[in-house]
Amino acid sequence: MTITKQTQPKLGYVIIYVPDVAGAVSFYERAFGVPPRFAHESGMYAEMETGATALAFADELSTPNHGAFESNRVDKQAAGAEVAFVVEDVRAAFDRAVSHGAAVVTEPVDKPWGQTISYVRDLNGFLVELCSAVQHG
Amino acid sequence: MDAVAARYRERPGRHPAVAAVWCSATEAPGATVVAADGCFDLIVRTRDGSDVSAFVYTPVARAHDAVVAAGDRHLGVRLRPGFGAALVDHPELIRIAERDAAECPEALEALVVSALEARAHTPDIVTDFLEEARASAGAMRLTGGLAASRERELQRACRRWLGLSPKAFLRIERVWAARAEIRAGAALATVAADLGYADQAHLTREVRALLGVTPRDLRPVGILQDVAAPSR
Repeated sequence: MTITKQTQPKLGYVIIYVPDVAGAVSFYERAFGVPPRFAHESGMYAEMETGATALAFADELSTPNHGAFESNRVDKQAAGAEVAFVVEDVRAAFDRAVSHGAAVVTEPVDKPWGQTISYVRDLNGFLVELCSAVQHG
Repeated sequence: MDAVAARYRERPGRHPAVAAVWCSATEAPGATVVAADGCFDLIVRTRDGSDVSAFVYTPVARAHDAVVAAGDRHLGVRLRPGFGAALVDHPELIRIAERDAAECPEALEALVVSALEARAHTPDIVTDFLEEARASAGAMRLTGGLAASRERELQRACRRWLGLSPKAFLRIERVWAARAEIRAGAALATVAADLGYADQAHLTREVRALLGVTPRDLRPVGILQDVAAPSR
Protein backbone atom coordinates (compact mmCIF):
# COMPACT_ATOMS: atom_id res chain seq x y z
CA MET A 1 0.00 0.00 0.00
CA THR A 2 1.31 3.45 -0.83
CA ILE A 3 -0.29 6.63 0.38
CA THR A 4 0.07 8.93 -2.54
CA LYS A 5 -1.69 12.09 -1.58
CA GLN A 6 -3.33 13.62 1.38
CA THR A 7 -5.29 16.76 0.70
CA GLN A 8 -5.89 19.61 3.07
CA PRO A 9 -9.07 21.62 3.29
CA LYS A 10 -8.95 24.12 0.43
CA LEU A 11 -9.02 27.86 1.10
CA GLY A 12 -12.18 28.68 -0.82
CA TYR A 13 -12.67 32.42 -0.28
CA VAL A 14 -11.44 35.44 1.49
CA ILE A 15 -14.44 37.66 2.22
CA ILE A 16 -14.25 41.33 3.14
CA TYR A 17 -17.34 42.71 4.86
CA VAL A 18 -18.35 46.00 3.22
CA PRO A 19 -21.22 48.51 3.45
CA ASP A 20 -21.78 48.41 -0.34
CA VAL A 21 -20.97 45.27 -2.30
CA ALA A 22 -21.51 46.70 -5.77
CA GLY A 23 -19.37 49.70 -4.88
CA ALA A 24 -16.54 47.46 -3.70
CA VAL A 25 -16.66 45.35 -6.85
CA SER A 26 -16.58 48.42 -9.03
CA PHE A 27 -13.69 49.92 -7.05
CA TYR A 28 -11.56 46.80 -7.28
CA GLU A 29 -12.23 46.55 -10.98
CA ARG A 30 -11.18 50.15 -11.66
CA ALA A 31 -8.44 50.62 -9.09
CA PHE A 32 -6.74 47.22 -9.29
CA GLY A 33 -7.90 45.82 -12.62
CA VAL A 34 -9.42 42.72 -11.05
CA PRO A 35 -12.39 41.44 -13.08
CA PRO A 36 -15.62 40.48 -11.32
CA ARG A 37 -16.64 36.83 -11.40
CA PHE A 38 -20.09 36.62 -9.93
CA ALA A 39 -22.61 38.80 -8.12
CA HIS A 40 -25.56 37.42 -6.21
CA GLU A 41 -28.83 38.93 -7.41
CA SER A 42 -29.58 40.13 -3.89
CA GLY A 43 -26.55 42.40 -4.05
CA MET A 44 -25.41 40.96 -0.73
CA TYR A 45 -22.43 38.97 -2.03
CA ALA A 46 -20.04 39.06 -4.96
CA GLU A 47 -16.80 37.37 -6.00
CA MET A 48 -13.88 38.65 -8.03
CA GLU A 49 -11.99 36.60 -10.60
CA THR A 50 -8.85 35.81 -8.65
CA GLY A 51 -8.10 32.18 -9.41
CA ALA A 52 -8.49 29.23 -7.09
CA THR A 53 -9.21 31.31 -3.99
CA ALA A 54 -11.86 33.95 -4.61
CA LEU A 55 -11.68 37.43 -3.17
CA ALA A 56 -15.27 38.19 -2.22
CA PHE A 57 -17.34 40.95 -0.69
CA ALA A 58 -20.31 40.49 1.58
CA ASP A 59 -22.74 43.08 2.82
CA GLU A 60 -21.79 43.73 6.43
CA LEU A 61 -25.37 44.01 7.66
CA SER A 62 -26.50 40.72 6.25
CA THR A 63 -23.63 38.44 7.22
CA PRO A 64 -24.51 35.76 9.79
CA ASN A 65 -21.94 37.16 12.20
CA HIS A 66 -23.15 40.77 11.97
CA GLY A 67 -22.28 42.71 15.10
CA ALA A 68 -19.38 40.44 15.99
CA PHE A 69 -16.74 42.33 14.01
CA GLU A 70 -15.30 45.78 13.46
CA SER A 71 -16.58 47.31 10.24
CA ASN A 72 -14.08 48.44 7.59
CA ARG A 73 -14.00 52.24 7.24
CA VAL A 74 -11.50 54.72 5.81
CA ASP A 75 -11.68 56.88 8.92
CA LYS A 76 -10.79 54.05 11.27
CA GLN A 77 -7.64 51.99 11.82
CA ALA A 78 -7.30 49.31 9.15
CA ALA A 79 -8.16 45.74 10.06
CA GLY A 80 -5.15 43.56 10.90
CA ALA A 81 -5.07 41.74 7.58
CA GLU A 82 -4.31 42.48 3.95
CA VAL A 83 -5.10 41.33 0.47
CA ALA A 84 -1.99 41.19 -1.71
CA PHE A 85 -2.01 41.36 -5.50
CA VAL A 86 1.11 40.20 -7.29
CA VAL A 87 1.69 42.41 -10.32
CA GLU A 88 4.33 42.87 -13.01
CA ASP A 89 4.76 46.61 -12.57
CA VAL A 90 4.24 47.71 -8.99
CA ARG A 91 4.65 51.43 -9.68
CA ALA A 92 2.05 51.37 -12.45
CA ALA A 93 -0.39 49.35 -10.37
CA PHE A 94 0.12 51.64 -7.38
CA ASP A 95 -0.40 54.81 -9.40
CA ARG A 96 -3.51 53.38 -10.99
CA ALA A 97 -4.96 52.47 -7.60
CA VAL A 98 -4.24 55.90 -6.12
CA SER A 99 -5.69 57.65 -9.16
CA HIS A 100 -8.96 55.81 -8.53
CA GLY A 101 -9.15 56.81 -4.90
CA ALA A 102 -7.07 54.28 -2.98
CA ALA A 103 -5.33 55.91 -0.01
CA VAL A 104 -1.52 55.84 0.05
CA VAL A 105 0.06 53.89 2.90
CA THR A 106 3.51 52.91 1.56
CA GLU A 107 4.98 54.07 -1.74
CA PRO A 108 6.61 51.31 -3.84
CA VAL A 109 9.91 50.24 -2.28
CA ASP A 110 12.37 47.44 -3.04
CA LYS A 111 12.93 44.91 -0.28
CA PRO A 112 16.13 42.93 0.42
CA TRP A 113 14.45 39.62 -0.35
CA GLY A 114 13.95 40.57 -3.97
CA GLN A 115 10.45 41.96 -3.90
CA THR A 116 8.97 45.39 -4.59
CA ILE A 117 6.09 46.18 -2.27
CA SER A 118 3.58 48.96 -1.75
CA TYR A 119 0.45 49.48 0.33
CA VAL A 120 -2.80 51.31 -0.17
CA ARG A 121 -6.19 51.22 1.53
CA ASP A 122 -9.30 50.50 -0.48
CA LEU A 123 -12.55 52.48 -0.48
CA ASN A 124 -13.47 50.93 2.87
CA GLY A 125 -10.05 51.36 4.41
CA PHE A 126 -8.98 47.73 3.97
CA LEU A 127 -5.24 47.21 3.43
CA VAL A 128 -4.25 46.14 -0.07
CA GLU A 129 -0.68 45.30 -0.95
CA LEU A 130 0.55 45.64 -4.51
CA CYS A 131 3.79 43.71 -4.92
CA SER A 132 6.00 41.93 -7.37
CA ALA A 133 6.58 38.18 -7.30
CA VAL A 134 9.33 37.16 -4.89
CA GLN A 135 12.49 36.58 -6.91
CA HIS A 136 14.23 33.37 -5.86
CA GLY A 137 17.99 33.39 -6.27
CA MET B 1 2.03 13.52 -0.06
CA ASP B 2 1.53 16.64 1.93
CA ALA B 3 3.65 16.18 5.03
CA VAL B 4 1.72 18.82 6.92
CA ALA B 5 -1.60 17.04 7.10
CA ALA B 6 -0.06 13.68 7.93
CA ARG B 7 3.27 12.63 9.32
CA TYR B 8 4.48 9.88 7.07
CA ARG B 9 7.79 8.10 7.31
CA GLU B 10 9.18 4.91 5.92
CA ARG B 11 12.41 3.00 6.18
CA PRO B 12 13.67 0.18 3.98
CA GLY B 13 12.85 -3.37 5.08
CA ARG B 14 15.50 -5.49 6.75
CA HIS B 15 14.49 -8.65 4.95
CA PRO B 16 14.49 -9.29 1.19
CA ALA B 17 10.73 -9.77 1.18
CA VAL B 18 10.05 -6.51 2.96
CA ALA B 19 10.06 -3.40 0.79
CA ALA B 20 9.51 -0.92 3.60
CA VAL B 21 8.20 -0.38 7.08
CA TRP B 22 6.10 2.76 7.27
CA CYS B 23 4.03 4.76 9.66
CA SER B 24 1.52 7.50 9.20
CA ALA B 25 -0.13 9.76 11.74
CA THR B 26 -3.13 11.66 10.44
CA GLU B 27 -3.58 15.04 12.01
CA ALA B 28 -5.97 17.02 9.86
CA PRO B 29 -9.13 15.58 8.37
CA GLY B 30 -8.99 15.23 4.62
CA ALA B 31 -9.03 12.76 1.81
CA THR B 32 -6.26 10.20 1.60
CA VAL B 33 -5.53 8.63 -1.73
CA VAL B 34 -3.86 5.26 -1.89
CA ALA B 35 -1.92 4.41 -5.03
CA ALA B 36 -1.82 1.01 -6.70
CA ASP B 37 1.65 -0.35 -5.94
CA GLY B 38 1.20 -4.08 -6.39
CA CYS B 39 2.10 -4.77 -2.77
CA PHE B 40 0.55 -6.56 0.17
CA ASP B 41 0.86 -4.82 3.53
CA LEU B 42 0.27 -5.89 7.09
CA ILE B 43 -1.18 -2.81 8.73
CA VAL B 44 -2.03 -1.99 12.30
CA ARG B 45 -4.28 0.98 12.85
CA THR B 46 -4.68 2.70 16.19
CA ARG B 47 -7.72 4.92 16.41
CA ASP B 48 -8.45 7.28 19.30
CA GLY B 49 -5.34 6.11 21.10
CA SER B 50 -6.55 2.65 22.10
CA ASP B 51 -8.76 1.10 19.43
CA VAL B 52 -6.28 -1.20 17.67
CA SER B 53 -7.10 -3.16 14.56
CA ALA B 54 -4.79 -5.05 12.22
CA PHE B 55 -5.50 -6.17 8.69
CA VAL B 56 -3.81 -7.42 5.56
CA TYR B 57 -4.03 -4.94 2.73
CA THR B 58 -4.25 -6.72 -0.61
CA PRO B 59 -3.00 -5.25 -3.90
CA VAL B 60 -5.39 -3.13 -5.90
CA ALA B 61 -5.34 -2.40 -9.61
CA ARG B 62 -6.35 1.27 -9.29
CA ALA B 63 -5.85 4.14 -6.88
CA HIS B 64 -8.64 4.64 -4.38
CA ASP B 65 -9.68 6.86 -1.50
CA ALA B 66 -9.07 5.71 2.02
CA VAL B 67 -11.22 6.58 4.98
CA VAL B 68 -8.88 7.99 7.56
CA ALA B 69 -9.89 9.92 10.65
CA ALA B 70 -7.90 12.64 12.32
CA GLY B 71 -5.88 11.02 15.09
CA ASP B 72 -5.52 7.69 13.27
CA ARG B 73 -2.07 6.14 13.40
CA HIS B 74 -1.08 3.47 10.93
CA LEU B 75 1.94 1.20 11.11
CA GLY B 76 2.59 -0.91 8.04
CA VAL B 77 4.97 -3.46 6.64
CA ARG B 78 4.92 -3.27 2.85
CA LEU B 79 5.99 -6.45 1.13
CA ARG B 80 7.70 -6.70 -2.21
CA PRO B 81 5.52 -8.00 -5.03
CA GLY B 82 5.45 -11.77 -4.86
CA PHE B 83 5.29 -11.87 -1.10
CA GLY B 84 2.46 -11.34 1.26
CA ALA B 85 -0.18 -13.59 -0.22
CA ALA B 86 0.74 -15.95 2.60
CA LEU B 87 -0.49 -13.40 5.13
CA VAL B 88 -4.08 -13.58 3.99
CA ASP B 89 -6.37 -15.86 6.01
CA HIS B 90 -4.06 -15.88 8.97
CA PRO B 91 -6.17 -14.81 11.97
CA GLU B 92 -3.41 -15.65 14.44
CA LEU B 93 -1.18 -13.10 12.70
CA ILE B 94 -3.86 -10.43 13.08
CA ARG B 95 -4.35 -11.21 16.74
CA ILE B 96 -0.62 -11.08 17.53
CA ALA B 97 -0.14 -7.91 15.50
CA GLU B 98 -2.90 -6.18 17.46
CA ARG B 99 -1.59 -7.43 20.77
CA ASP B 100 2.14 -6.87 20.34
CA ALA B 101 2.97 -4.68 17.39
CA ALA B 102 0.68 -1.66 17.36
CA GLU B 103 3.49 0.68 18.38
CA CYS B 104 6.54 -1.26 17.38
CA PRO B 105 7.73 -1.35 13.76
CA GLU B 106 10.45 -3.89 14.54
CA ALA B 107 7.99 -6.28 16.13
CA LEU B 108 5.61 -5.95 13.20
CA GLU B 109 8.37 -6.61 10.70
CA ALA B 110 9.62 -9.62 12.66
CA LEU B 111 6.09 -10.97 12.86
CA VAL B 112 5.63 -10.68 9.11
CA VAL B 113 8.97 -12.31 8.34
CA SER B 114 8.30 -15.27 10.60
CA ALA B 115 4.86 -15.73 9.06
CA LEU B 116 6.36 -15.71 5.57
CA GLU B 117 9.10 -18.16 6.45
CA ALA B 118 6.58 -20.59 7.85
CA ARG B 119 4.77 -20.82 4.56
CA ALA B 120 5.45 -21.89 0.97
CA HIS B 121 7.85 -19.85 -1.09
CA THR B 122 6.95 -17.93 -4.22
CA PRO B 123 7.26 -20.22 -7.25
CA ASP B 124 9.71 -19.55 -10.07
CA ILE B 125 7.03 -18.81 -12.63
CA VAL B 126 6.07 -15.78 -10.55
CA THR B 127 9.56 -14.60 -9.61
CA ASP B 128 10.65 -14.88 -13.25
CA PHE B 129 7.63 -12.86 -14.29
CA LEU B 130 8.35 -10.20 -11.65
CA GLU B 131 11.95 -9.87 -12.72
CA GLU B 132 11.06 -9.43 -16.34
CA ALA B 133 8.17 -7.11 -15.51
CA ARG B 134 10.45 -4.75 -13.63
CA ALA B 135 13.36 -4.99 -16.08
CA SER B 136 11.06 -4.17 -18.99
CA ALA B 137 9.17 -1.46 -17.06
CA GLY B 138 5.93 -3.27 -17.71
CA ALA B 139 6.49 -3.59 -21.44
CA MET B 140 7.08 -7.34 -21.62
CA ARG B 141 4.78 -9.36 -23.84
CA LEU B 142 2.37 -11.72 -22.18
CA THR B 143 1.17 -13.53 -25.24
CA GLY B 144 2.89 -14.98 -28.25
CA GLY B 145 6.00 -16.25 -26.50
CA LEU B 146 4.12 -18.64 -24.22
CA ALA B 147 2.13 -21.74 -24.92
CA ALA B 148 -1.55 -21.34 -23.99
CA SER B 149 -1.23 -23.67 -21.01
CA ARG B 150 1.76 -21.76 -19.72
CA GLU B 151 -0.19 -18.53 -20.13
CA ARG B 152 -3.02 -19.95 -18.06
CA GLU B 153 -0.53 -21.14 -15.47
CA LEU B 154 0.94 -17.65 -15.25
CA GLN B 155 -2.52 -16.11 -14.89
CA ARG B 156 -3.38 -18.45 -12.06
CA ALA B 157 -0.03 -18.06 -10.34
CA CYS B 158 -0.16 -14.25 -10.51
CA ARG B 159 -3.67 -14.15 -9.11
CA ARG B 160 -2.61 -16.38 -6.26
CA TRP B 161 0.78 -14.86 -5.44
CA LEU B 162 0.46 -11.26 -6.59
CA GLY B 163 -3.22 -10.76 -5.95
CA LEU B 164 -3.47 -9.31 -9.47
CA SER B 165 -3.62 -10.50 -13.07
CA PRO B 166 -0.32 -10.31 -15.00
CA LYS B 167 -1.73 -7.52 -17.12
CA ALA B 168 -2.81 -5.45 -14.10
CA PHE B 169 0.59 -5.94 -12.56
CA LEU B 170 2.40 -4.84 -15.72
CA ARG B 171 0.32 -1.66 -15.85
CA ILE B 172 1.48 -0.90 -12.33
CA GLU B 173 5.13 -1.54 -13.15
CA ARG B 174 4.88 0.73 -16.11
CA VAL B 175 3.27 3.62 -14.25
CA TRP B 176 5.84 3.40 -11.45
CA ALA B 177 8.59 3.62 -14.04
CA ALA B 178 6.76 6.67 -15.40
CA ARG B 179 6.54 8.09 -11.91
CA ALA B 180 10.30 7.83 -11.47
CA GLU B 181 10.98 9.55 -14.80
CA ILE B 182 8.49 12.34 -14.15
CA ARG B 183 9.96 12.95 -10.70
CA ALA B 184 13.39 13.13 -12.32
CA GLY B 185 12.07 15.97 -14.47
CA ALA B 186 11.54 14.27 -17.84
CA ALA B 187 9.01 15.79 -20.20
CA LEU B 188 5.69 13.94 -20.28
CA ALA B 189 5.82 13.35 -24.02
CA THR B 190 9.26 11.76 -23.64
CA VAL B 191 8.13 9.57 -20.76
CA ALA B 192 5.10 8.43 -22.73
CA ALA B 193 7.22 7.50 -25.74
CA ASP B 194 9.93 5.84 -23.62
CA LEU B 195 7.56 3.54 -21.82
CA GLY B 196 5.19 2.66 -24.63
CA TYR B 197 2.11 4.72 -23.75
CA ALA B 198 0.01 5.62 -26.79
CA ASP B 199 0.57 9.31 -26.11
CA GLN B 200 0.84 11.86 -23.32
CA ALA B 201 -2.91 11.79 -22.69
CA HIS B 202 -2.73 8.04 -22.18
CA LEU B 203 0.14 8.48 -19.71
CA THR B 204 -1.81 11.13 -17.81
CA ARG B 205 -4.89 8.90 -17.59
CA GLU B 206 -2.81 6.01 -16.25
CA VAL B 207 -1.07 8.18 -13.68
CA ARG B 208 -4.41 9.49 -12.45
CA ALA B 209 -6.10 6.10 -12.45
CA LEU B 210 -3.30 4.10 -10.80
CA LEU B 211 -1.48 6.66 -8.69
CA GLY B 212 -4.36 8.98 -7.89
CA VAL B 213 -2.38 12.10 -8.71
CA THR B 214 -1.76 14.18 -11.78
CA PRO B 215 1.65 14.11 -13.49
CA ARG B 216 2.04 17.67 -12.29
CA ASP B 217 1.78 16.52 -8.68
CA LEU B 218 4.83 14.34 -9.30
CA ARG B 219 7.01 17.15 -10.52
CA PRO B 220 10.12 17.74 -8.37
CA VAL B 221 8.74 21.07 -7.20
CA GLY B 222 5.03 20.72 -6.72
CA ILE B 223 2.39 22.11 -4.43
CA LEU B 224 1.58 18.63 -3.21
CA GLN B 225 4.89 16.89 -2.66
CA ASP B 226 4.68 13.20 -3.24
CA VAL B 227 6.41 11.02 -0.69
CA ALA B 228 10.02 10.49 -1.70
CA ALA B 229 10.28 7.28 -3.75
CA PRO B 230 8.40 4.76 -1.64
CA SER B 231 10.09 1.42 -1.82
CA ARG B 232 8.27 -1.41 -3.52
